[in-house]
Amino acid sequence: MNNFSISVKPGNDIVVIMPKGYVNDLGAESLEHACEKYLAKGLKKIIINFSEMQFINSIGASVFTGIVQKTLEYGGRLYFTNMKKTHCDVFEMLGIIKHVNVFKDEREALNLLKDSK
Amino acid sequence: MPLRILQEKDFFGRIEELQNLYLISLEADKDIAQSIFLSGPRGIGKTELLKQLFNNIFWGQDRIAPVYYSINSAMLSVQDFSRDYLTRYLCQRLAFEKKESSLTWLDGLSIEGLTSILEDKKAFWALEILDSYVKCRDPIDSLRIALSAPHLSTLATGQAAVVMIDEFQQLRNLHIGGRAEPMLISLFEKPLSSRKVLHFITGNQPEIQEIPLTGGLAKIDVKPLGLEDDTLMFSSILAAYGVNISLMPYALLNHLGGNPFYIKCVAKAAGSDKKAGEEDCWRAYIREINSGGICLYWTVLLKSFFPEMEMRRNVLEIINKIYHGLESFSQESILKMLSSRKEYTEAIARALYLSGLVNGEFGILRTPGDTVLIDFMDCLYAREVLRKSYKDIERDLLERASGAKGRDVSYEMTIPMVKEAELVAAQCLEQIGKNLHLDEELIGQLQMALIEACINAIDHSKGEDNKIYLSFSFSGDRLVVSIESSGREFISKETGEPFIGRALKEDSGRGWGIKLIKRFTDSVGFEKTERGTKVVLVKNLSRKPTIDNKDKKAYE
Repeated sequence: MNNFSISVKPGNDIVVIMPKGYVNDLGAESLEHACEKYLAKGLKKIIINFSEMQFINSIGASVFTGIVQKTLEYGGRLYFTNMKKTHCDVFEMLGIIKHVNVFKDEREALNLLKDSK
Repeated sequence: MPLRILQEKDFFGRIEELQNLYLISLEADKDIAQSIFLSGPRGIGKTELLKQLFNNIFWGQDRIAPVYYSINSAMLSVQDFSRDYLTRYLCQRLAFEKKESSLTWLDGLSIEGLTSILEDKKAFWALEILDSYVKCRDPIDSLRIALSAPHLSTLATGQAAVVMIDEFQQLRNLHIGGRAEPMLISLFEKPLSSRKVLHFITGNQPEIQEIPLTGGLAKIDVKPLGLEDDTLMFSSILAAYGVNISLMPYALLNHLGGNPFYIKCVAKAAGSDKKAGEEDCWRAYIREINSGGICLYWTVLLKSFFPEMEMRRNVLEIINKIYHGLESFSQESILKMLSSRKEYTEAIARALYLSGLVNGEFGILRTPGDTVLIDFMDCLYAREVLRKSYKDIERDLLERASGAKGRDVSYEMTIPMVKEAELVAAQCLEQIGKNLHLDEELIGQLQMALIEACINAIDHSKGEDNKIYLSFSFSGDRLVVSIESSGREFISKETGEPFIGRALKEDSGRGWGIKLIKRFTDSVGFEKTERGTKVVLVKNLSRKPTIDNKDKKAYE
């Protein structure tokens, strides 16, 4: 049984990625690959919606540093939405939060991003 | 009288049960109906469940007609009952057909009045049934016609019916001209075994179980509300009184046993005091069982089963012995205790059981599981027999309550060291948190720490038995989780903390595990045990997790 999956909603210049279930090392790596795939296609804005993420472990969280790094290398921006307080704390501890923009929910992020360049 | 049904917002915790009964009802037209006895203790919400079911069937679909009938103890002559049952059945059936709810609860309707309505609505099938009833002169045949109305109407219209009968046990008191005819209830055997009409019956469980024909029914137990619904109901009633509750009195709610009637009474009493501190709620409860709605309910019941004054006094003594005595109690014990006639003690023993004041359908009289009833009887005994003052009674019960508050809860489990076993532990912790009504965020933090501790155990301990032993202990103001595993120890003698392999620490981020554990707990202990190694996570529950300004900003 797989406790992790990803769903993706690609748009013209924004892609919304939703990790679902338990984000461990393998889960986070597949998330990293998904992000890289869209960055390579030229999409610069990546929204990660955490509403369906149930748990994350420390290895999974640390893979996010790689995601941040790759996004910056491609000149993209990373947006986190629908985060639980505890998960936000984890990313804050790992120094990831300062490199991303956090929104309350996906709709808020999309509304703000649709007009920005 | 119109049916008083709670609004959806005030009906708590029975969504699944209601849906189940609704789905069963929708099968009523498949000629496979098996009538159902809804069983459960007094006050558990059987009547309200039936009323909600009626409402849902009435408005939720067009195939199955719902009919609700509550047996009225003032209408137990065969003539009165037959007429009332038939007129109400036809009215409700017609109300459903025409979707005119005003027809559902027409009160005091004469046969002539009903005939006129049926003619007006061109309900010829109903007129035919009513006509045969009117022409019948024999009271027992009239009863037969009334009871067969659901079957006949189904045949005539092709529309099946679900008949709900509340207070079914009252039918044992059917009489003809004042002469009790207990066997008349057997006339219900045919309608209850019909495969075309589904019946739901409910009422006082011990009395209904004494009726032989109920042996052929399917039985569905109406369960107590879960703690989550208890708290929702309690806080919602208090909110209606403008009282917000900051600390839920879980020990009291647990004591009320998920009984909606008790919860409602206590919440209303606390609400009218405008006080909702834990002790205030206990005081409201004690007042309820001494002089409030709960007291009234059980007093009326006690008096109805034991109408003679002398008998009541004896009953108080007997119940006290049953509830608090060490030996098993039977009719023989009552005989010895009262030195009375056998018929008298037999009547007491039987009434004690049928009233629900004690358990004991096979003659061994035992304490019931209802702690509120026990408290009520104890208060009554203290007041009436021991002549204690209310102040003393209140003090005794508050002392007992403080015992209930201090109850600890602990769970133990063993999980295998397999891939993602940590998720099983985290999910269990979540459920424990829900059961104990702990703050979700605190539990979320402890889950993070637990996941890391389990991964450590799996990755580093290399336990020979490949198992992780978990224990979760809740002691009122803190939750302690211990994670123990066997095999090679993984704790540094110098630092008292687990080894983290250098490569692992630098390459994969595992080094963050211990930091996360420390961040999300109030204290962490690493112990060597006979089995191997134990990590003890402690989370204080008396305070809400704090959010510093930086974190707040992230959300805004």
